[in-house]
Amino acid sequence: MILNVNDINVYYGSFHVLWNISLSVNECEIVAVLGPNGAGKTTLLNTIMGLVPNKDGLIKFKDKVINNLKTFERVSLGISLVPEGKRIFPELTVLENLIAGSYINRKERGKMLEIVFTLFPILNERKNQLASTLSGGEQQMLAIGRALMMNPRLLLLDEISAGLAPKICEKVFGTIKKLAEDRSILIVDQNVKNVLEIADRIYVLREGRIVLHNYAESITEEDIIEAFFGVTL
Amino acid sequence: MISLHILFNSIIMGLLLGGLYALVGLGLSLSFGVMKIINLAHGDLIILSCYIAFALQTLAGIDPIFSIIILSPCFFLLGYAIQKLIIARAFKINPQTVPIITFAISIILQNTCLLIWTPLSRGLLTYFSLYSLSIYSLNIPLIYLLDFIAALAIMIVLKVMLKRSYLGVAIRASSQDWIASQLMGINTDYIYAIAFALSLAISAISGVFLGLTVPFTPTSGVAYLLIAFGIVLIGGLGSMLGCFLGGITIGLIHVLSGLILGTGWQLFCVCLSIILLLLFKREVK
Repeated sequence: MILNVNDINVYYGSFHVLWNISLSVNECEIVAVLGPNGAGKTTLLNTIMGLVPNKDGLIKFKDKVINNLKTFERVSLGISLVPEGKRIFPELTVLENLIAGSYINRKERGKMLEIVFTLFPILNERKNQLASTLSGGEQQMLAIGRALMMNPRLLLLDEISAGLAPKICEKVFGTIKKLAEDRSILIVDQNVKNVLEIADRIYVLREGRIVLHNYAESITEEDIIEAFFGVTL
Repeated sequence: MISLHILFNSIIMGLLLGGLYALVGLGLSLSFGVMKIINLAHGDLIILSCYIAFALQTLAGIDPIFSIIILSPCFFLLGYAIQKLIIARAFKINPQTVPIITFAISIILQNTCLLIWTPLSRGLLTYFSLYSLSIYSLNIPLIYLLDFIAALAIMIVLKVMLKRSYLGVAIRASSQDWIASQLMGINTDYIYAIAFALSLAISAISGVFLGLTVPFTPTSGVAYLLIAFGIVLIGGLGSMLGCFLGGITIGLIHVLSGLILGTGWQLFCVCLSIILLLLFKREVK
């Protein structure tokens, strides 16, 4: 097991956001967290990264408790997040963004650059452009590429299909499947159909609680919709 | 009527003096232009460097040029400590408190210098202080030439460091989005402290060259702070070359306004030109 989240609670001030969440990700597994807007999906990923503190419970990465580590320390252990809203560095060039991604993995910079440019050839074409001049879809590719530069053991993806054209979206999901050959992936997304195709296991989050957890092959879209809204349609 | 010879000599002097202004601006260009830390003590830290070099010379007989070797690392550590212990904490409480905190540091520094060294005007002397180069009919003080060369060298080193090194990329990334930077595994607190420390190490060097070129008092820092901010704004935030060129522009205006209108008008013309250049720059953009 590469990631083990055990019974965590998260608060924003006095507001209880995540309730007794337990979740695990195994080696080379794609795990998806689905849920309606405001269910706490992004908060969950941010808590795993240490951007939001958890009040109780444990977060373990490769059997090491990482609760009290700062974000950059968690990253250096091998966890990488493609955050919601991309958060690329607008005033750096595409190449400099990728170099920033290899900050903790300098030795493999050339090799990872090649991998990223093979996945997203458009980034190679635009490598000397300022990142702010890229289109939304290209910026998303850059955000994924940048997270890959550190060759993480566990890749967290937050709403990466948001704002992507359907065609590019399909390509990105295909890429994720490929990436999981030698790493684990925890993905949060609204795109239920695409997620069901690539994920091994699914968690459904509603109002800060896990309401459904099962292997993807034994879940139907109807189960998920029911879990989303808490009613049978 | 101003003769062509005097005019030409003044232009050369203005260009070289511009090197001194660029030197004063470069430290701020890193801390304010790149890192967006509003350091109102910038001028006073430069003056502090002048005074420590002065003390080293009078008490220990160390030549000011060599005191750079001692001052620069000491100011680096001082900068690291100020960022880590004071500015970072103030920033976490509220980013708007940073200018107030650095203003307080400025007042403390001014008054400390006043208490130790009195309000008397001082200057730094080295063995070549009075040397000047005669090229054709031009007389160029050696120290002015050194100011220019030092500014050019520091500008190039900073530019290359920011553009080519991992540290430079991390500095620029952290100033743009510190959360995303942490997600790259960058220890942003450390990067901020290193960048501020570098800014102060540069200030230490500027201080020594400033003291060798012009006299200083404990309150001289204020005028240099103003000029440094002007230069950084004219040159464009984050651009080291822009800062250098901004310094040259201000140097030229300083000398030429003195020549044409008289020395009393110099600071007035410099400040007015900063405002005008900023207005003009907005139109161009």
